[in-house]
Amino acid sequence: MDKVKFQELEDSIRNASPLELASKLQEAELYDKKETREVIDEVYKEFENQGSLVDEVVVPVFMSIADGFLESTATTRKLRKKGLTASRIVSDCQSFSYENPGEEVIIPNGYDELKNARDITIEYGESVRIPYKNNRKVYDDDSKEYYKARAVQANGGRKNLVDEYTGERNITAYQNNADNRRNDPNHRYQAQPDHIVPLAKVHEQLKGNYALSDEDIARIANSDSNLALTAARINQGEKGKGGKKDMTNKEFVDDQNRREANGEDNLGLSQDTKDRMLRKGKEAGEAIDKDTNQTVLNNITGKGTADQKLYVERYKEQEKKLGRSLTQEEKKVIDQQLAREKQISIGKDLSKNAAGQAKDYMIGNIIMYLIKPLYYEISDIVRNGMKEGVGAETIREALKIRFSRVKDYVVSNTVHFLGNSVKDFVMAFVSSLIEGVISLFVGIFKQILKVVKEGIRIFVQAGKVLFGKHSSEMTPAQKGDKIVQILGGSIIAICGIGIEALLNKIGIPEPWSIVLSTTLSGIASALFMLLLDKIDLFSVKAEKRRMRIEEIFDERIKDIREAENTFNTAAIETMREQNLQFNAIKKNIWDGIETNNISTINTGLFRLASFMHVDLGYNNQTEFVEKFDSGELEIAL
Amino acid sequence: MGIFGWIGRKARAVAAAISRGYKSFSGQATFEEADRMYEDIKKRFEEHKAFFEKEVENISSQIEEHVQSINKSKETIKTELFPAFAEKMHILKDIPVSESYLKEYFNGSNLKVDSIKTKANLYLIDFKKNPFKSNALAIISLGFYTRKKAKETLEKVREEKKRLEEEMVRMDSELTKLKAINEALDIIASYYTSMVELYNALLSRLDNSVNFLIIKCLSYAHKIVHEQMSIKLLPKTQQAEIMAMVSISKIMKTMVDTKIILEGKTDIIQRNINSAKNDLHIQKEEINKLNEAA
Repeated sequence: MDKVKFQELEDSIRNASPLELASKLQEAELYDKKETREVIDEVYKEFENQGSLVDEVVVPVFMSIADGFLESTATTRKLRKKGLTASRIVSDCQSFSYENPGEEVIIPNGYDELKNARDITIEYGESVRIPYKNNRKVYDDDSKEYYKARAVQANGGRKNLVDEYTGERNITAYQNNADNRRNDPNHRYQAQPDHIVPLAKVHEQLKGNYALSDEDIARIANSDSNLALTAARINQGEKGKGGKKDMTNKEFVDDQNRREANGEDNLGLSQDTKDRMLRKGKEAGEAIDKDTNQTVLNNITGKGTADQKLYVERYKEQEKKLGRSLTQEEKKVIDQQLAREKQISIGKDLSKNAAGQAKDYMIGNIIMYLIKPLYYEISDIVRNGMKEGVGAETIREALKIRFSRVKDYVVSNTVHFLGNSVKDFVMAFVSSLIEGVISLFVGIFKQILKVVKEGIRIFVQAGKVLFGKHSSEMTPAQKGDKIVQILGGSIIAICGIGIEALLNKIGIPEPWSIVLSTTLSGIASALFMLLLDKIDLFSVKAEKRRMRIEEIFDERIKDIREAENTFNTAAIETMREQNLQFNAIKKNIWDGIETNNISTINTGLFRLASFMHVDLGYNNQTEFVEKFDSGELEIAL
Repeated sequence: MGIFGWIGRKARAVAAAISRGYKSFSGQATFEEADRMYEDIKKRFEEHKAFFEKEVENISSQIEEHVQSINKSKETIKTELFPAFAEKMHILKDIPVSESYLKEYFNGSNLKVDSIKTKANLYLIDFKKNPFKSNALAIISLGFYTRKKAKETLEKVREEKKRLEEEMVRMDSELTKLKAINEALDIIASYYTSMVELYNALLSRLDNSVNFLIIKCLSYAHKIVHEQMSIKLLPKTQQAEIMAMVSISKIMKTMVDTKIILEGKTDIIQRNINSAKNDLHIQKEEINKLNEAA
């Protein structure tokens, strides 16, 4: 009940004539006539009608598809880098109101963070790293020749070496020392050191890694674990029968299998050879991952190895300065200094990238901050009408009101927003920095780091739910529900990475694998949230409904008590005043009777008539006599 | 007791801990909380309702007494005072007295107090009524289903508790209202009684003035017909006496016609006009005799 109603109630009692008072008191409504059961039924209905299928399923699914397609072009990917996905824009805009603007979530989900960090490495690989094409020599050092030489040396005086792929001792070291027992005019059995994982592939995999120099990549690619001595017929292939060349072992085996299945010419590899090649391919891949991770770790901790070109130059400079050759100790000091310089350079790159990413998130946040009230106004215009929505008379007035609302919201929240933005920037910087570091690693170690990071993120978010500034406003069930949502959301986001890897594995290339995995993980996330909502594991819905019911009844009870209080005070005071007034008038009249003073009696009766709200039809004796004699005065009893 | 006593105590403690753990796991603890709450609110609500009904009965009977008193006053005014006044005034003016008046009855509070919802309406699981089924469900669903149902039961009971709180507050406010009405009617009834007393006192004073007028008219050899009677002929004091009587009659006419209570039964009572007419006839004859004598 509003203040006006309370005032009306009070006025009706205080202004009642003495004879009306009882009926006015009876008339007073101290409580809403609506039955209490009806109140509960209405809340149940309200909760049942919350969230249509369109809002809960169609919109999120559609938005996930939109998010996926936004991954297909470089321009739209820039939106994602700013944290602006279709899902976020729609969800944030729809939940916005001036009363409850909602909190900005600056850091996107784990999958989007990974994609953002990956974009940085892709850009580095494309624009900074020396390309592989036409520059093979940069990445192909003499190691493989040393590898062969060591193998020949280890073979002793024997003519034939063991082919590491076939396992047969049937390859010869050099053309001038061929095994003449075999008819091999084209030297197809000559031993050749092969990059198990081809150089091109290693370059492709590591070119974006700004913690690795070109020499680091060459060292990793040409390490013993990625080399195998095999016959030229396998390494270079035979005409029309295929060859390994720039294929991975798996690609090569698959190609041979395809040829065999199709009845095409092939190298006739045994199953043992194929298995061995696959095993060696796998082991080499793992070794490359291990080497890469170790090198990155060394580089970012200042224990790395400087590039030969750099340290040779530095040695020379120093020797020139000293006028003598450097001792091993002095060289070691220079090496350490160069390793630290490398570390600082990587650190700078990491910080620059993290700051750039955090800045992008901030820009996205500012865009959202401005878009939300605009969206609110537009949707309100569509829903309630331009003028009707704000109760304006003219369109001009409506526009003015709406514009003022947007302006007031933006202006009044700017200080708070900026304050939060500083904190958000720091958080986004730290998160992007960690994501950047993770992006430098490869293989299972990278996945472990990613999972650990997501774990920490979940832990921090759960901590906020449990102990944050809004935690006191939440019940344990609501907290539990929220934590499950955070946990599920993060896990599904991480699953996006797995889906993408799977899609790549089955041959779907980028960017379509990213488009699909973004869409699928978005849909999975939406369905997971819907499932959680339907299961209502912690009975949060029932709890919220009960809280809403309690809130309504508390308000109604407060109203009843206030109305009762107003009623009681007004009634008691009015009765007391009226009673006092009546007794005074009555005494006045009796005094007139007892003293035989008709004038006093009439004065009292005039007061009594006024008190009882009775219109006598005359105001004095002269008027009375005239009206009485003329018959104008009606006296019907 | 010794060692066996110690073992017994420890065994009981372990059993109690296991029981507590199981109750938490199955949601039985939550259900028991809901059940306790239901029983508590039921008791409180029913006591409150009983008190309310008793109070309503008490206050209503007091109200009815006041209404009866008012009705009685109205009857006296209509059947005795007004006819007497009309009779006294008939020489001067014909004063019609209507043959009906309002008689009121109070029919108590019209607050319909709702009852508490039954357990069947509120309980989604009942460990007391169906222990086997509930525990089986708890084990099959690893407690998820039964805990959820117990929690929802608790929420429903809490909702009911809040609803009944409003019902109780409504009852309280209704009692406040009835008490105020009772008090107001008590005062109003006293107005009527006081007015009847005043009317009687003023009515007896009227005789002098009317008689004075009759004598004055006769001295002018007027025929005593009220068309020719003018109170202008009277001294100011007598005019004032008549005015006083007319004024109080008008006030009391309003009092008789006013419906004092809003709700309840209202009868239009036909007064016993014949007896009044008879009284008038006797008085008229006396006046004629006086006239002839003059």
